[in-house]
Amino acid sequence: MTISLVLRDQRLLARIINLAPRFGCSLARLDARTSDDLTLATFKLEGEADALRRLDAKIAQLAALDAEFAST
Amino acid sequence: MIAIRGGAHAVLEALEAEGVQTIFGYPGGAIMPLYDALYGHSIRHVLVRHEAAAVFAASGFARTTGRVGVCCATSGPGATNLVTGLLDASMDSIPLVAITGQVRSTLMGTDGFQEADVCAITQPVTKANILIRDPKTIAREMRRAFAIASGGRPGPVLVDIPSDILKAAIDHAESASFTIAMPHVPIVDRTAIARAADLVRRAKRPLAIVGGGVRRGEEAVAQYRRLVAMLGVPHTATINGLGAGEPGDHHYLGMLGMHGSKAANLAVHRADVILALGMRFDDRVTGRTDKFAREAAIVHADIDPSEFSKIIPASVSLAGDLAATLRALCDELERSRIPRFDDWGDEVARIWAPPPSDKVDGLSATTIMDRLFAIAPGDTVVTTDVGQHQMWAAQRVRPDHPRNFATSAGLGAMGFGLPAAIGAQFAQPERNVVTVVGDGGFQMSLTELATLRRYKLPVKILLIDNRNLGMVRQWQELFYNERYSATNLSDNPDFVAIAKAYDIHADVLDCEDDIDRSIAAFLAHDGPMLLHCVCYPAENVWPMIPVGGAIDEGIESKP
Repeated sequence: MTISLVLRDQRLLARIINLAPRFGCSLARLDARTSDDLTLATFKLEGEADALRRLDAKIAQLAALDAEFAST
Repeated sequence: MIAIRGGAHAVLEALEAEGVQTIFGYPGGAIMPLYDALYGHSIRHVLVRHEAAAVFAASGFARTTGRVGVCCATSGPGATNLVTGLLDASMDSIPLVAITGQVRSTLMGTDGFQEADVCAITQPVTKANILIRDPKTIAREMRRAFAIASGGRPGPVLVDIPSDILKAAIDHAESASFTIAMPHVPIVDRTAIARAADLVRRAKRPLAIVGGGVRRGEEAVAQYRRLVAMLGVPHTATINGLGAGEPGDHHYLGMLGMHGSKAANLAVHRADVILALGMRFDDRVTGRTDKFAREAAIVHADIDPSEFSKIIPASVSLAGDLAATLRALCDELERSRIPRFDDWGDEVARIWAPPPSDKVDGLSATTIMDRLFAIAPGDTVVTTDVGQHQMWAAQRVRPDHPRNFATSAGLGAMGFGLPAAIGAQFAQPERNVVTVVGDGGFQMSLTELATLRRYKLPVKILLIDNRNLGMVRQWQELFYNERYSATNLSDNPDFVAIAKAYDIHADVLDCEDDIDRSIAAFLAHDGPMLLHCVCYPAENVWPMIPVGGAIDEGIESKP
């Protein structure tokens, strides 16, 4: 599973790295760069389909919160 | 003329701007500038006896009012002592703002005295955390913290402020002007509402399950009651949704889940449509997910879209504020034929029975609970600690509003009950506040008897003392071949003597004949009181779905 994110809070990279093994997944590759105040990150995550689905949902929640904070 | 004041004063001004009147905390080195600003200030600071109690008290305040609870602590150990309470609030979506002092900016990262990277530590347990590096941003960041905590799906926010920032002089004019947008809340999707209404119209055995999302506002409770009354539909609640139904509604089936009522769990099993409203399908609710509501189409309403299909696949997802969603669904149903499900509701309501109890050789905790909730008025605010007594209370309590029952549900954090009751009593001094605690959890927080005494809080503590860590003991009995490892508390202290040492009135209940008289006197006592109930040590919580069991596989006694 490959997920590309635009993050306001760079610390979420660490959060997602920590989350992956909690879902029984592993990080195969991470590309990240910062431009202005945004971090552009692409995660390649591996694991069983159901674990990846649940991890994807959790990452979506974090990304939504990150976007929400940017608006506040 | 330029007004100059310190960063700590800016923090208090920000709290005042949010309408905060009470904060719970414990002082220490790095946060001393804030405590200096609090000296003589109109914001009331409640001194607890451990930072964990500060965050639980703030949580009790928030859970029973819907307002943001505020706590504060110093750097390092003070901040790390907040972690459990922050996670508890995060799990149950409780709006909190925690303010922590931090070592001065030049010491950060050097392993300074009482330094902790609290933002890193609390990242997984908060909705957001904010390290303030510039005193001019204090007002804006505090406003942002409250907006994030209370907006959208509520949650805890931690604001970490180095001591030099708290001491720094601020030019008022430089920090006065800013705007903060509230977090986005999804707008109700009319198409999805129409699909949900269509499912309800075609249903034969629908069931509503309400969760903690209903506590977000009065309107959500009103619209929930409108929906279930309109349809005559049977309904059940998660532990965080208790009290959402109209008191006395005979289609209310009690709590569902691991220790839920047989009627509620069988209704889930037989339902063909489930309206899952502001709940998140916790594993204590679902049991085995592959056997949960196998015949039902799920209509899932939640403010957080990431909850949809996380555990149980949803046929229709309704993202948005629960009150708005329910109003739209009721309105949509009223546009055409309104189905009624009274026969189905009556059928499952007839299954309902009081939770079964063990036959015991001594004072029964469940009998005490039965009598407590029969005698206490419905508007009593009840908090619990965690363990068997929590489940016994949840099975029996009949609050007339979901904000009248506060418990550490998702996290199950022992030590919650008493400090949460303190927060609830400060929030609503005129209300009767009762906390039900066990002998294990009470010993994690009984230092807060000092807080009761200092502030003369009339909190009533019902101590269910079975001289065991009862829930763990129950599992050891049922699933670990009766190997009672580290659960025996037969050397408990004299709780009445402890209470009296804190100048708290206390009494003992150890005889069934005295239950009603003792509870009546306990509730009527003018001031704080401990009622120490000396209970049979091996009474279990029934019904129970064994771990790995399905929701219809509950057992009502030891096999």
